[in-house]
Amino acid sequence: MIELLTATVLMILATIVQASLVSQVRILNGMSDLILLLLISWLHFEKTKHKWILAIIAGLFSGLISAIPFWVFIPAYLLITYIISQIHQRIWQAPLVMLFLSSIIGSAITYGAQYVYLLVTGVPISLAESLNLVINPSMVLNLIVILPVYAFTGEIVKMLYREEVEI
Amino acid sequence: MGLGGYFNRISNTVLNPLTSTMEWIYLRVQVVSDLIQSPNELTELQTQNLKLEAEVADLQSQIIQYQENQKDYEIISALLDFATEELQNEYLTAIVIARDSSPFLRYIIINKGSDDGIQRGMPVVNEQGLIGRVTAVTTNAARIQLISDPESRINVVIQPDNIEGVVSGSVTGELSLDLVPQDAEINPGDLALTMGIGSNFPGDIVVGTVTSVRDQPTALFKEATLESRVDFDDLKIVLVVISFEPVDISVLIEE
Repeated sequence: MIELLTATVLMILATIVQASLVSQVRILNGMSDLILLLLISWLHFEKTKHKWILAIIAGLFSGLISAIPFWVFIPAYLLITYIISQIHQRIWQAPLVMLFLSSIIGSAITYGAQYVYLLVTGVPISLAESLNLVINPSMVLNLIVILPVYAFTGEIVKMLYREEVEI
Repeated sequence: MGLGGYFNRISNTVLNPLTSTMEWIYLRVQVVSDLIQSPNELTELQTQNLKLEAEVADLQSQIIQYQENQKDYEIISALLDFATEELQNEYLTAIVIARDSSPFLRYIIINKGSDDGIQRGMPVVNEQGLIGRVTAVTTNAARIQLISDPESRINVVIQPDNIEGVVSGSVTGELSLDLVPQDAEINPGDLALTMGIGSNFPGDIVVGTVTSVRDQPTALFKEATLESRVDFDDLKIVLVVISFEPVDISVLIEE
């Protein structure tokens, strides 16, 4: 329970920082997604629990600060959770490579879902423009920001899941 | 005898070497004394230097604070001037507290909501022109869709020839003018104002200036790019036009 509570508090903090700070830092027209990166980092630690619930919470918070509804984010985050857990089971551990790979896959799914939603709701945006000026720069930013987020999450996870040492 | 100067030669002979010796000794002692005392002075100087550096840093932060206050004052002053000039409207000042987390969209969130009288659809402006309109409201916050958002559409009239058109935003935040009749004459520098038709915005609010015109003879309409005077990336304080109540005309539109 304490893990879920801590993860939720972290998500709230990430939401605040995302809306007030991170959303002001842009490369071309891309911006980093702190909530997504926190979720990915959390999923990378084998000890962590409540992954699916956290994906739903992340989706709810993303929807809270965006004009894009939460039901666009939740399936995207659940899919990311599924893919990362599958990768963890199949690929031999290489944390950094895995982290970057997850960041790229996660960004592609999240921004892809947003793009499809906007297209379906009749917003005229071109794919080429979106790829060149929004999705790719956002991916680059996510690749940069994932490292400190991962390190921070690692410290929290260490505090939460202390291993008992036999003497 | 002394006053007569008879002893001068004798006294000079005796005293000159004495004063020279005294001077030599005094100077050497001074040098040695300085050498001994210098570490203390050095420490003192270093301490003083640290104190001064701290003071300089403190003063610099104060200057930055004053500059920030000055900027805020200028913004508020300009907004006040604008509100005083536009007496037909009633404004509510709000501070920008957040931005949309999606890189595709251009929305801001302000610190005033329904408790302050803000309603969905109200226009938002500042002294430089139109910013957008309220699309969602909670009790103490509201979400504003900027005119640079890709979903935004505004009916405008281009001055000086009163040509009608539609301004739309884009993913890049650029404004473009469309649906302008081919025979209409628009030039760079022309001003785009809100038309007031469509019930979304009051009329005659500055939207932007025409920067370039794309004239394709085969196209149905003329297109142009617009530049707003508003710096959408640096919005701090905005004015919500609370006296304007948008009318929902969607019920009149047949699907």
